[in-house]
Amino acid sequence: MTEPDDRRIDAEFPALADLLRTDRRAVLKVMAASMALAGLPGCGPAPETVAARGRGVPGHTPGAPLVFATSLTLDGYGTGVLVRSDEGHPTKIEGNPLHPASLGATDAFTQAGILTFHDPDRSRAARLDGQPQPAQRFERALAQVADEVTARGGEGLRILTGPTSSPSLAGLLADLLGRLPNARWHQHAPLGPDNRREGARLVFGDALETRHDLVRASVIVTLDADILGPGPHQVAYARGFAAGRREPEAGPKTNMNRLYAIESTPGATGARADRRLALPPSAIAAFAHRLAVRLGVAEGEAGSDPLLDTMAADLRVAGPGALVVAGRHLPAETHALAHAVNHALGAVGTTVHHTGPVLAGPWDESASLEVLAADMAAGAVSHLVILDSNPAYTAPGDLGFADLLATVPFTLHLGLWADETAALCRWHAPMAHALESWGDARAWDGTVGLMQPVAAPRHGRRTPQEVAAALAGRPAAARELVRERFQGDDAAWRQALHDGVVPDTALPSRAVAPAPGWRPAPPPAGAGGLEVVFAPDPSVWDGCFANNAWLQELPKPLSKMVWDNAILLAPATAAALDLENGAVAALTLGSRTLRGPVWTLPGHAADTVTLPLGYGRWSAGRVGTAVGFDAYRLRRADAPWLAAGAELRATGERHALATTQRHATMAGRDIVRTAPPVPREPPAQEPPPSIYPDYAYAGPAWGMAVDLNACVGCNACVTACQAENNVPVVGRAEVARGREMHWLRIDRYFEDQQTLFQPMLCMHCEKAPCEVVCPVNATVHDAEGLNVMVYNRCVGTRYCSNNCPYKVRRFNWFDYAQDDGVPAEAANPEVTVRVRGVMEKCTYCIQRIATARIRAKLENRPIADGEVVTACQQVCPSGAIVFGDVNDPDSAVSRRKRSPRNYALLGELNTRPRTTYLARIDNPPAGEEA
Amino acid sequence: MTQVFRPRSTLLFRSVFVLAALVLAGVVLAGMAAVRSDRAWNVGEAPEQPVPFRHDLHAGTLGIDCRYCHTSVEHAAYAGIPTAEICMGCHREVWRGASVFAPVRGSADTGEPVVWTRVHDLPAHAYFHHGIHVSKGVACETCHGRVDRMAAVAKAETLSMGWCLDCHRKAATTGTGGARLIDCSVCHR
Repeated sequence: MTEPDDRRIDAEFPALADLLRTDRRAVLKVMAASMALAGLPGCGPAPETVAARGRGVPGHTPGAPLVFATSLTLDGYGTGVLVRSDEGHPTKIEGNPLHPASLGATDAFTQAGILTFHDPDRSRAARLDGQPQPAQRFERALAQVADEVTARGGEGLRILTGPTSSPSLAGLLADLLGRLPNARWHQHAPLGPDNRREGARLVFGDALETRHDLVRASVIVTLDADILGPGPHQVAYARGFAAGRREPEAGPKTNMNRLYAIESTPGATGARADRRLALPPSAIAAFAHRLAVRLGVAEGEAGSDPLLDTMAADLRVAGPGALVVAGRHLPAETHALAHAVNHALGAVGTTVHHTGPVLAGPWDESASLEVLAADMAAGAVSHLVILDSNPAYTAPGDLGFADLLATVPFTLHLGLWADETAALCRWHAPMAHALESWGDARAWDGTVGLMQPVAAPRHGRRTPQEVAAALAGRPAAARELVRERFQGDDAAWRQALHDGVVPDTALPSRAVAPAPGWRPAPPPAGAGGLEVVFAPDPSVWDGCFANNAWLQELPKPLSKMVWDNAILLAPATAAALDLENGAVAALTLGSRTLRGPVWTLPGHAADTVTLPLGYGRWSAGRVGTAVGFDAYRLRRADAPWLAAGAELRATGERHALATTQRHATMAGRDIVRTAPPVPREPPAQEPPPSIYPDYAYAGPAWGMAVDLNACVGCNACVTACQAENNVPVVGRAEVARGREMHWLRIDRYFEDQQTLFQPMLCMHCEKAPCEVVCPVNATVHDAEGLNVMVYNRCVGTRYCSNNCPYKVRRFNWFDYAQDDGVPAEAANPEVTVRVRGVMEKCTYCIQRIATARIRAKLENRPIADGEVVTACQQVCPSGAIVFGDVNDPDSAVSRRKRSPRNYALLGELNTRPRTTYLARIDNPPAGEEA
Repeated sequence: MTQVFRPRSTLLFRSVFVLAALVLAGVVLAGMAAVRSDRAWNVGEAPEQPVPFRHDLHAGTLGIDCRYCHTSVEHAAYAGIPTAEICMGCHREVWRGASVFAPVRGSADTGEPVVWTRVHDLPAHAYFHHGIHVSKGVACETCHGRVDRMAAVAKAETLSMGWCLDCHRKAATTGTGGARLIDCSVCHR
């Protein structure tokens, strides 16, 4: 290849330049190897074996999947799930309809739990000073420590846990502290402290937990609180919000809720808000104060602000239906104001409930870690036991926790991975994953959910409860430790295991009243300079999901970035600093400096930057190590959430960030439609004539309706689809070339101050443009209207993808499924794993249709409406997706498609898509109607 | 100048060309026949099994119903290889000491599986459901042959896609299944 050729290729196909730079020798080598290996396929596979069980399992059909009810946790809060297990391998997680934090749906993190369970990087052995040890040796060491500390009444023993709500672990640790009065329990929440509790303590005199009932809320004001964004409450809040906006079938909704979002960092809540305002965090606190003044809760300068007047008037009218929520990182005084406003409006008891603590353990978590660090520095700690926490990575940078770990004579770390903390501890022991543990966890409302193992723990993995019991000198099996703290007889225990929840364990609402001495604090003075907000990342959260490739490759809801974090800021701020997307900047805060690429987000508050936590790990595993930058290092223990006076400057370097959607606007096209609250009659439309043949459907004809008025862009459907359909992970470089594989993506557009979400999947067009261009008939229409992809016929011309106006077809440029590191046991056995060179796309979960059809035929009846539930539909917290038979006029999907808001995307192309959308409804405040 | 080729050469060349074309076509046809042959699909092959189980004795002479051992054949995708417990239901009484049973006895006692060699092995991308076929009246022997006459089970049919389609086409046109039975998506996902 001559040099001019090279240059031309570079100019034309920058992404291909590396691939094409192959010399003659390399080509000959590959050819020789191909010839040498060509004979191998002739040998044929060894005959397959089939193992027959020695004894049958009563009630179980061999080969059929089993379903277990259990719980997974996020930040200590439990979510009830139903886990499907094929031949002993957990393969899919669904929500548990009986569990209040799930109600049958889950978030993206919960869906990805399958991959964490199968993660080959999970720790497989106890280690002493980094050297693997037999499990018995670890048990002896633990027993010896128990003897040592017991002899001294626990003096010098410290236990550090992550946030936990487990009644059994809390009970065991309370027992331990009772026996060893000089020992202490510390808790470290990376995403703490939750200032809501401190706010409640200020105003009500008691550090109560606050939960919201969005179903009953008619006017919602969020003050930098991403209630619809990721977190332990997301499923319940998204469902409640959608319920308050859903139109009845009979006609328009008259009492639709209205959402005002005041945000510093754009999030899902702001995207769905009817009125949104971007303010830096310091200004939000002042804004909250002025709102409280208008509502008579605080005294001071009200200022003049039409938006505040409208909001205050709306909140007053709503009364008990009003809800004001402050974000976890705002100061406790702002939370106190929000609590007081809710109380004054009469919302306590309807939209706001205060309960006793859901999380167990010492309350002031961050102070607790500070105290521990101080004691370690003073040499008062002789034994430190870390259970399910990674403080070497997640502790605020100014504590120097990693250095302090080395000063403690005996350190023990129990964790899923041999991570950053494990490397600095003398002992490390592998922890059992939730799917192989006996345990329990409280949901956000206090309901206890039991955890039972879906697979037996291997490699000597154990639960925190087992370690706590062994430390108390009373080792016992994990199941017994949970069972003995369960209140009830064997029948109740079995029922609770079956259901996944322990009935009537939700915490009761408490009556509250502002303490007589409480006076709202005056608004804080505006911070100077550039403000910094630390925020959990929507993909990897606090870093605990860093080694999960599904979540790393999950496009973040607004930036659509994958495999990285970036310093987020407003386009205007970036322009002022002469920065553009992908430019590496140095952020100096106090004495520390961090370097990272910047990314501009429309709608970000001015003069503020957001630093997503959870990246920059140095010992996460094969997937998560050295991805992005570590923002924990800039955090300070006394002000973990916000900082001011930062300095940001360009370094002149660039970092290639991968994103799945490079355009931000709809370019004037009618892609995501919005409707006023009272929709008009749609123009009656006859589809234009088509030259393609019509199909007749004797049986069902499948179709889908996606309600954009319910979608909050949470990504749960994307991950559910990936787990259900064995969608491979391709990695950052491939995504950067535009080769992402997700069958379902969520498009987002920034239009006219609005952020719009649109889940995009194969439309299963009635007149499908892909079908007519395939030269080998590899994509065809089937008798139920599905546009099916025949992998074995596909020769990889990619004509279909080029002719698809929706861009939902995905091509296997390489053997992604073989090379992505996702173990075969994690795959759904009901779905073919695709090989290199074939096209793939959404199948409408054809395996679920087939299962339902066969079940119906065996029972000699038609398939009932609602019997086929696609993976995306099942997981959706807000019920945005409905699937069913469009031939049946009474099916849920047909009823929804009759809504005047129903429209076909790019309908003018006459593809007659079976997936249609329902326009989003905006409910702007009175006087602002568009 | 003398001619290099005599008139007869033309005939010779023509014959060689025709013959070469015939041989080539023959090779191609033979290849096509070979991949479609029973041998290519292991028809008639009875692999060695850990226990010399006699279907001809159990299903044939004794007349035990297939479903007695293959318990889930009527309602599940997988017909089910009997557990050692099912075998021992009878064989705790009859032939209890026979040495050929050692693997089965061990399996029933310890729960360790007996590992059989699969005779009817479908490709991974074909999703076959026993229950629906049995419930629609397809007899066991349609696909598995006269197992009741086999001392050691051998594959009776090719189980190739063309062979599956022979039946599905018939059912789609004359039976009650409808056109759906010849959709790709009925067997492939």
